[in-house]
Amino acid sequence: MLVIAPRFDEATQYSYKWTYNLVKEIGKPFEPLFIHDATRENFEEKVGKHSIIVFYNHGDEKGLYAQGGKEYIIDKNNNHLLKGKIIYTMACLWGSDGGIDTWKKGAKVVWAYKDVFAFTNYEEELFMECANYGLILYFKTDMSWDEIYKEAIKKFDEAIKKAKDGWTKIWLRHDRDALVCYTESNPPQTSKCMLRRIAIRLLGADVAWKLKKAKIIGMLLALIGYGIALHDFAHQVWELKGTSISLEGGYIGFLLLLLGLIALLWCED
Amino acid sequence: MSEEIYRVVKNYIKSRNSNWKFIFGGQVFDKHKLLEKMEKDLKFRKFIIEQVIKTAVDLLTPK
Repeated sequence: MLVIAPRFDEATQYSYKWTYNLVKEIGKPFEPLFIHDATRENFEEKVGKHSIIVFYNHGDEKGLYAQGGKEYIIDKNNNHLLKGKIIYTMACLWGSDGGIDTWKKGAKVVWAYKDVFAFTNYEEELFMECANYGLILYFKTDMSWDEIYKEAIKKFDEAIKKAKDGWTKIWLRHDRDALVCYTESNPPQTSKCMLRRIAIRLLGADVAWKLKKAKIIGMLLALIGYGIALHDFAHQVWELKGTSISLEGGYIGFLLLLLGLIALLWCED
Repeated sequence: MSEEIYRVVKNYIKSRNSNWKFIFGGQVFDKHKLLEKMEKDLKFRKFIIEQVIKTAVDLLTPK
């Protein structure tokens, strides 16, 4: 397990402390990239040796920040290094885009937040417990990541009930709704790509994420061509017989073509 | 309605002690800075009011 925790401003004092509590509670060996060691170069050098990557610090839509907050330690240019790995983060916004891209490039699990992560120093431990809970469950139970995600949401719900302060409840609820866990069986429900968003809406995320962009364009072109050919055939039948509704071998051919296209769309890996 | 929620939120924040902090991503607010931010930044104020409403809806929704 590679654990990355920069520390360079007031907010990261908290995330650093939470990381410390997390590794202490898990009690497993890990390689730290803490404070000044949390650089892009070190990450790229060490990541190959680990199957679980933990990151607690600032993030945004594009990436996760290295020590100092001036450059990314992980972004779209090096996130292919996470292929086949579990990436567990407590960072703002990365789940909205960078995390999706990382999942697309083959990361096994992406645990992230699609919105800003917010908390207060009053009842801080509730926020920390919720942020750390998923990875603790992973090490202490045999649950799948989809089950762990559901349990983490329940943990947030319990913390919301437990919280004495209304402001704590507001931001626990906000963080809970921002939490995402992308796995093979739980793909992202949105995309930056318009075609993909349409496909997610029409076919559901499970099928839509299996489609390659070229395949979506190919399917659209095939369907448009199919429509033109069918219209032309129907017109020819109408010219010959005075009606376009007639039992013709061509119509059976069109029906078989349509069934074939649907089968290709649904059955391909 | 939004004005009423904003008034309640302001009163709540004013009543916090001097050690109270709200960490919103990379920004750390004490009560004075948060009140100032909400007063000046209308988008942020609207966002806070939305969170109050969403939480109220969530708390009243049976689980």
